[in-house]
Amino acid sequence: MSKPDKAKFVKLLEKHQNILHKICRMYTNDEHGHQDLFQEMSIQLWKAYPRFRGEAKFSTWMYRVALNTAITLYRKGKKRVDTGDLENVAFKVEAEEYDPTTEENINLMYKAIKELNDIDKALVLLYLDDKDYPEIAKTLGMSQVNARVKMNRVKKKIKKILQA
Amino acid sequence: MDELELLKQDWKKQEENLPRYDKQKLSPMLQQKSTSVVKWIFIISIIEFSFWIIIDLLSVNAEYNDLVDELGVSMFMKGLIYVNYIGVIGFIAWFCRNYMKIKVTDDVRTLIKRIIETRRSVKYYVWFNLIIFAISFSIGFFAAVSSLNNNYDENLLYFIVFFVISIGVIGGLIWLIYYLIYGRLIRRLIKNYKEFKREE
Repeated sequence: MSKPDKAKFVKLLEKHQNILHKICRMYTNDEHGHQDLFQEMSIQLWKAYPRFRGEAKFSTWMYRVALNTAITLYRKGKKRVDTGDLENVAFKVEAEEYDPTTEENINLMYKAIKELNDIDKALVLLYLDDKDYPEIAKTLGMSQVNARVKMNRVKKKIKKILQA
Repeated sequence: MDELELLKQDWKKQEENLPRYDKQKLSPMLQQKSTSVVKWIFIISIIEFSFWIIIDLLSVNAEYNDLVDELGVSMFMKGLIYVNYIGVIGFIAWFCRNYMKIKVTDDVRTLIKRIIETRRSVKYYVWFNLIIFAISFSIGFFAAVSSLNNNYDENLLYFIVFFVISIGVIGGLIWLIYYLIYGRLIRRLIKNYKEFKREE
């Protein structure tokens, strides 16, 4: 196996880093956790990079490795839910036309998502990132039917929280 | 509008608020050590394999062989040793095969399944060793008891107490390993895997 080009990899990492940050925001609750997970994902990507053959787009490959790291390999801190911080640190709602109800609802939805289990979070993350059901199913390793069923459950759960 | 559609719009806007790390920050990250679950499972598994191999090596010595001969169970014990060696080789090969299959580029479900299978191969190895240990211990115990002629009742009581304490200590040790170390390490994996199974 030839020695991977580190400079090239870092350039790609820099270019596509938003993918990692979004996953970090979904799976961590504070700045420290964010940086910690980001680093672990970067290490796993770098380790896997020599086997990247370019059959898929780099961003697609990166998404999969990073998501796997967040759900499966990442060991530190599952600090459960300090939702007070989440509103301020993790997500800043920016409605173009300010609507307090919309803003409140969005914040509530982010809170609800943070309370989901790891797999449901991944499902929502993929959905929010505009992945279609075949890709969601393929990334998670479930059938499309199951992905849809789970997604509907998540939607119902979020709706219930908003109505409460 | 669907609630998640509303959220999707906001999610896209979130990209503007995401942190940006430059090359100077990204590059040193790659030199850091991984804290991955797989790495820890690998390290602990190697310790477990080594532990039982060392126990095996320490337990076979001239004094032990004399005792086994004296008790008249040498053929059986030799057979058990061969079974043990075959088992050790088999389990190490099984562990390596499972470990090599772990690929971070697999889908989430497959990756979790493979990590659990790798861990399971070590778990079965430990059980295998405990069974071998229990068999050889029991044979030695009963052979020793049956060879006693004098003070039979007193010695029998002594051996039974020793037997029970030994089983208690070993049981406690296993509990410690599995519930404290592995429990913390793979609890999340098992929970996530059950989540996948629930949908099937």
